[in-house]
Amino acid sequence: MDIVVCGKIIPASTVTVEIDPATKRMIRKGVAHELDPAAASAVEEALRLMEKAGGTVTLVTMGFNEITIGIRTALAMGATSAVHIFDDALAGSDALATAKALAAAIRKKPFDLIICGTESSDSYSGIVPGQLARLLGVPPVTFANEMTVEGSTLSIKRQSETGYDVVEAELPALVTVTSGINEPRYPQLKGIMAAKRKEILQMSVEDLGLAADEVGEQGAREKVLEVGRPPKREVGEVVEDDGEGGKRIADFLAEAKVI
Amino acid sequence: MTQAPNTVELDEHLKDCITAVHGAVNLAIPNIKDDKIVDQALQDCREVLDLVMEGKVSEWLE
Repeated sequence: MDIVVCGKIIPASTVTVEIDPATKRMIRKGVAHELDPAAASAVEEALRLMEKAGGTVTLVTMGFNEITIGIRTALAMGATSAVHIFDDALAGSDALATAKALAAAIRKKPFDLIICGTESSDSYSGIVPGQLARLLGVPPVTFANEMTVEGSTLSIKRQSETGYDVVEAELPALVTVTSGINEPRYPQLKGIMAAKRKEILQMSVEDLGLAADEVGEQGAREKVLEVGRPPKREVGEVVEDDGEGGKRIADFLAEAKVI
Repeated sequence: MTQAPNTVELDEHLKDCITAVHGAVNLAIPNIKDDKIVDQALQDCREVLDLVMEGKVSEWLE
């Protein structure tokens, strides 16, 4: 089975993310990056399927040079190869432009299954997988917290408020996995060493056959207007317990109609 | 002072070793009650440390 994992390489969890006030975009150049935990779960799920059924796992991702380290992590975990979409013209791409670039890269080779995280851990839009499925003409099966493939049928369990739904789709398909679906393996030394010999295919906008105005700032149909910090929480009321503390709490809860 | 040869490669190899140990420890600590995970992590750490202690630097650079 040939599996494609679409995953993002994001600023490392140790980095304090800065926003460029002019572009309202996250400053990514010169910042340490790592494989998004959501993508790591997707890679893990792909590797488990590959270990069971054979085939390949290819990571397809987009970003600057800084993301190579995250690509290497996926390869060190066991992914077979990677495609790195890398072009200055992609800067400022919105979700749809990102999906277009990913779809163009994925179309270059046959595939059976695409696995994505439900959403990236840095921008949380969560709409790229749906757009990608539409562009590739495959069914999107979302929010899987358990998945199996038997023959050409993908089956997932999707957590719901009352239990879970079982959803099936015929391959080729796209599935989004939740972070709780597995515990991603860590790259072992042998894997880290082997990753250095694995192929990372770099592709530009031209290689993908896309026009410059389909992607990047030019092609973006959505715009971030403002980025702000959450409002500061107001200081609560401090009550000295002079024997009436319990009553004050009860009064407060009654006022809030909690009791 | 002249820079020792292969410093970059050695640096990179030792960084890879630390990354491997770091990954193993990072998974083992939150799963400390899971013997399977902890045993595997210990074994991986031991493999890495044995390799470093063996000190066959020329092999690292191959």
